[in-house]
Amino acid sequence: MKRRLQWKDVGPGLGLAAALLGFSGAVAWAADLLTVTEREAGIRSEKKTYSPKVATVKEGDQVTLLEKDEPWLKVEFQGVQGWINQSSVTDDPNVVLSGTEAARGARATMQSAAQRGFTPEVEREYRSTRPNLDASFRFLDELQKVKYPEEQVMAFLRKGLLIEPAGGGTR
Amino acid sequence: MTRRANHAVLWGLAAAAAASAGVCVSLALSGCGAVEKTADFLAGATAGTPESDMLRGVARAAESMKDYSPSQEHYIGRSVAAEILSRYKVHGDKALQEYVNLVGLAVLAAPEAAKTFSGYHFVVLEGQEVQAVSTPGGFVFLTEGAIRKAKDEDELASVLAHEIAHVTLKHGIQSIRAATRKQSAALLAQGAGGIASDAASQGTAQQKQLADLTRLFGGAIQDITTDLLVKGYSRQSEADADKLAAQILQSSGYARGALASYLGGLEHSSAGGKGGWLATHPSPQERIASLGELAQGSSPGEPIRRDRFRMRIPG
Repeated sequence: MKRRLQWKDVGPGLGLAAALLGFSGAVAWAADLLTVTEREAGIRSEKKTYSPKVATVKEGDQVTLLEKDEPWLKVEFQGVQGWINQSSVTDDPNVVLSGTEAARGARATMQSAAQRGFTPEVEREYRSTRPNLDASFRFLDELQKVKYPEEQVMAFLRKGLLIEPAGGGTR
Repeated sequence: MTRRANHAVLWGLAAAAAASAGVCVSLALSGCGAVEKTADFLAGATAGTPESDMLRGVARAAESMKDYSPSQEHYIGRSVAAEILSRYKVHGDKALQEYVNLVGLAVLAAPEAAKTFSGYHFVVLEGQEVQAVSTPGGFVFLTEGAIRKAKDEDELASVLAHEIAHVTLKHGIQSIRAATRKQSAALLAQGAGGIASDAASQGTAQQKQLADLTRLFGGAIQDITTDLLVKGYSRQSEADADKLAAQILQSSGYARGALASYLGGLEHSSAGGKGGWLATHPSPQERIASLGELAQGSSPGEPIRRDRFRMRIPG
């Protein structure tokens, strides 16, 4: 004898289906999350290296991938959308970021230590074994503090006719 | 700190670095090729011991890694850069340093140029030898001699584009992977048990790991610095870097043919000796031929850029 399909019959199945859909949705969402690997990077209004920044992201920040036009990726960060160079981000969830060494502690194996590579801690140890490089390292520390503002770079590009004098056509 | 103050500190440190290290020491090849050849033998001979397992694990890890992360590349590159700085003297002309950095940043407008963890830094070194070299992470060095061989800004940009291409193509990182494997074999040959017992008596397991890693990477850093300055990359890597450099030049607005033009100037000049770029790279003639049609291509604005180049670098 046939009976009408009731909610109690399909409910659990739908629940399971919904859970599976939710899970696959989460996987898809996770795949669209990218991690910033530059110390600081700009999300740009256009697919041009020196176009105006709409947001600034830092190493470890996560952005959502919206669209690809390699080497440019359209991403969203904290509700703001714009373009970022694909070499500024990674889709590897296990990417090694700077400053995470201390948190790993002594439990890591030697092999995983090798995979962590040349970290700031290894650099400090290396410097202690190579005191003749101390002045060179201090030079590099200061070199990294010297910044050339993008306005200065843009003016240089314009004067050299590397972009149109009116300011359009930045690359 | 203001930029002016930054510069003052920077060039003071440059002088200190040069004074402490001497200038452009002669380099000897490390001879690690022999070590590499014995790696398998050593691993087999000591198979089953914790030490050999550990070091082979390190070697495999270093070799099997798809990529170091940008921050790892940066810290490797900093140490290679420090080694290079210990062998050359930084040029004291601040205006020249700023100009070369602006040309470099103009080249980096090309989206094909890979971003690095901490951005690119361009450093002019003293010396009439034609030398240009880059490290992982984007530290780019070139001598005054390399700049003086350029006829205009586009040719200077082409040298920087070639070095940026090496960084983008990760040629330095590929070298460090190979050098790390050699170093793990070298540590094994020296007797890894000694390392373990020494470190164990000195401190915690974490300190021991740090000491092991420092020995492992430290030797590799010195190996690849020597390779960069004396042996250079493979012919194929150089050809790939030249082709990408031409594309980067075109994308950034500079003349695509500027690299071939610069190489043509090197070919017809004996000033500056036969060391540096001429010793570590294929012949200019071979490189121009390899570029094919990428050896051609002009750009609007070249005369204007030539004028400002001449203002910075009097002939």
